[in-house]
Amino acid sequence: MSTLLTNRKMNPALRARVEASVSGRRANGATRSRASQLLLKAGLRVGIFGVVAVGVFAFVRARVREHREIEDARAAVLALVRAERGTWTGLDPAATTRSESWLLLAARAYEGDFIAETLPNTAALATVLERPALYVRGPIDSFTHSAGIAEAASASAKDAFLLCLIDPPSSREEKALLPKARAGYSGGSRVSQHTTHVSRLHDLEAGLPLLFYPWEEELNAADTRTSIERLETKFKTAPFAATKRAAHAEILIFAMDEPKTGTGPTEFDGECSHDVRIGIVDVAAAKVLLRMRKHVDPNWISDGARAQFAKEIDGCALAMDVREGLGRKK
Amino acid sequence: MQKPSSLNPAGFAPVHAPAVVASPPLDPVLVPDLLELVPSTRIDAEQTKIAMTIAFAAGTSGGLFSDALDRARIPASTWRAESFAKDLFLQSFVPLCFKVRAGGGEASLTTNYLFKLLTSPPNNPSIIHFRRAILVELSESPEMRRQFERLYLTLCRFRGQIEGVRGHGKWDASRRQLEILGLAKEIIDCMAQGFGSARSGLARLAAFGLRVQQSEPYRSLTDLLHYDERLATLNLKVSVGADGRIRGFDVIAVQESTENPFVNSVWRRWLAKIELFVRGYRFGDQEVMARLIQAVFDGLEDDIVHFVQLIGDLEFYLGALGFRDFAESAGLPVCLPEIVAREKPRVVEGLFNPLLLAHGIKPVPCDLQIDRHDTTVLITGPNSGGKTRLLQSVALTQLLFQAGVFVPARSAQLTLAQGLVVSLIEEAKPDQSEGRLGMEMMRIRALFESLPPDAMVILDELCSGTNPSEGEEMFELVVTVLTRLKPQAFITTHFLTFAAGLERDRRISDLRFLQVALAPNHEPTYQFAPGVAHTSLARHAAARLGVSREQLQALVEHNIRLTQAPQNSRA
Repeated sequence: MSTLLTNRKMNPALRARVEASVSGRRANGATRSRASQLLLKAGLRVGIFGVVAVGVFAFVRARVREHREIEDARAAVLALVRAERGTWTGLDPAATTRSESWLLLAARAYEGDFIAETLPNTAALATVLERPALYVRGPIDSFTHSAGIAEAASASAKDAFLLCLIDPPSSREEKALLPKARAGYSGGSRVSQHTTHVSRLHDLEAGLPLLFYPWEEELNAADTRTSIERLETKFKTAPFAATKRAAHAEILIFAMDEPKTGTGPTEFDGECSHDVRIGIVDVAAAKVLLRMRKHVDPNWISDGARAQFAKEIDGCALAMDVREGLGRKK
Repeated sequence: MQKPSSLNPAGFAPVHAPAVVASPPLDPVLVPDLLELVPSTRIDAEQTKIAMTIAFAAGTSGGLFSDALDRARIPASTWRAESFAKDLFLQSFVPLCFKVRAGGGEASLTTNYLFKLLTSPPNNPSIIHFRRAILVELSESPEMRRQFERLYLTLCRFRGQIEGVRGHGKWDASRRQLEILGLAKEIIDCMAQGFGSARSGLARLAAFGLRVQQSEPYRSLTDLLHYDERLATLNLKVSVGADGRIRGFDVIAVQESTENPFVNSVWRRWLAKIELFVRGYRFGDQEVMARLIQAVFDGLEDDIVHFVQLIGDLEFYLGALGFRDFAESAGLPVCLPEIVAREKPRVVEGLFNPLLLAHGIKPVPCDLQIDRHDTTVLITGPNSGGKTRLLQSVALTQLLFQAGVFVPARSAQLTLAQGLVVSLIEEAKPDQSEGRLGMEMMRIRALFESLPPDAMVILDELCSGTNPSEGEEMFELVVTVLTRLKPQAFITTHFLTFAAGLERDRRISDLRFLQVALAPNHEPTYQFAPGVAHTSLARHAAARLGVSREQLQALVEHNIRLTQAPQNSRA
């Protein structure tokens, strides 16, 4: 058996002796046992080495396969992102940030009521409210940081306040507010038919960031199949159709519920005596159109309606108060 | 006739023996045998090879060489050591007289092997001539002797390394093995280059060395040693500042010995290490080197095994030369005797006893001349006259002569003997079952049981310690029967009257007579003259040793006075 200790420069006789020395083969019996011992040791080492090598190979192969699968999954999600991005025109990555900035600003110390010159009356308000808009309502504490805003946005739906602001009832009496409150409470087409041009802030928050680099970076940084699948699910469930509409919003409408005031009761739906900050911002022109602070208290609502619709009735009444506030502007 | 030399002053040409034989020069020699005319391996080569392989691999604690030589075969001999060795004190003669001095120091000999060689001289006279020719060449050529000693010293170093006696290099097995191989190369080179001009059997060393040098295993050995010593040569430029410190260090050139068959590329060396590890060896450069060293050694082991026998042969000749140097340093010349026929005269000049010399006593040389060798010589004379010492000298001379080495004499003409039987005075043993007469008879019986024809017989005070008339009768019987075996016999006796009668009557053939020569003051001169002594000079011996009548009486009176002195003081 040849060995790497020899080379072509060696005399054949020397080469044969080197091979014999390596294999432990000798003519006499004294070293024949050594040859068999070496053979056994060599066999064991080859066996152990083989097992270790197979184990390492299998591990590496599994890792490579897993890595390949992760990369394939990642590439698939990236393809989805690029495909979705390709269907957009005029994508504005700052849309979300811009809206959030106005909300963060409004959540600070109240600067006092303000009505822009371009909103002299309710007719002008109606004109403004016909423009594509974003709407969000939630506890004021949520609007102090981006995560809170996203949380408030996901919990905020088109409600009676928005409905009454856009399509006010005939009067502020409970009887007139109640149909709007019911519509706001049940949601659905009874709200959407009047608010089709208004998108929830959540629609923007849920979809737009997925089309830009920070999210793509998060996707690239994901190193497990589970995390990629989670991101993939998030992307596939994102309401991109609604996001597209929300991305074109020109107006931001928001209502921030301040903490409860007084010691009055809290209704089943959470409504209680508290102040609400209302804001309408022209995000396209970067102007505040309206800033008001109104008090709501469901105490005035009849018992029958209050138990179920206190929040919605108060919301609709709030919208009427806002409109009324415009009417009293000098 | 031959041209006289210091070793052959009479210029006698040998008559019976053939001319000095030298080995045919430059014929390939498989065995560097220096003791026999036809080269042969006397050690058990296979066993020795196995032992040497194990010693090379692992390092033993000594004994490889001495064990092999102890078991070595000796050239055929009819001599039996038990017949003479004890009475000639040969066990102490060898270490005392055969001292090997080489390299400025005294070497430690394989005494048992030398003892065997000396006590079993060869039957074949050609072997004696072969050995004498080597001794002559070593004696006459100081350069040859210097090479011979150098070869011996290198063999001793080789023996020390491979037996691991000194414990050097046990921490680095490869380094030790490379040193052994280096010494083997040195030995082979010394043999090839140091004895090219030899005319005697020493030429075998050159022939052996040259044959090995031309073989592939030797070339591989040279390459391996070169690989170890000089894998690469670097030319450096070193800059030294005014303060003596090194400022710069540049490698100007690197030359690697790529043509060396042991040089492999870096990646191949790595793969070789991995290959050895998988095969069951340790991982590392040392294991690679160990395999290569083993392969080189395997190619040489058939030749290296002969180093064991060679060192014994060298000690034989260096011992003989040491004996000569030892004797000549005391002003006592030695020689290689002329070999003559049995019927020719035995002439020995300047004969001395080397046992006395070994014990620091300067012996008095004497001359011995008998008209022929196959005689019985009766020696008579006073006690302490040198008779026993003469017997020892004659026996040792015959022994050394037949072994082919120097004898303790200035010149000698001797014939070969088929054996040697020496019987000096028997000392009483605590368990002996017989009295002195019985012991003497047993001695005579043992003599005739072991005595071959044409042997040398040495008997001291035959039949002493018995009734004189019965002793003389037995003496005559022994001497008469002895003549049948045609021995070279030397017998001492105190039966002066009987000896004188034998000389006068001549009733036993081939008897010769020698007596201790005395000075005018009756003191022995340690020389010997023909004839029978008239007296044992007992009175002179007594006076010399303090046992005369007057001396004994004086002692008695002194003792009595000592006993009476305390009684007188009390009174």
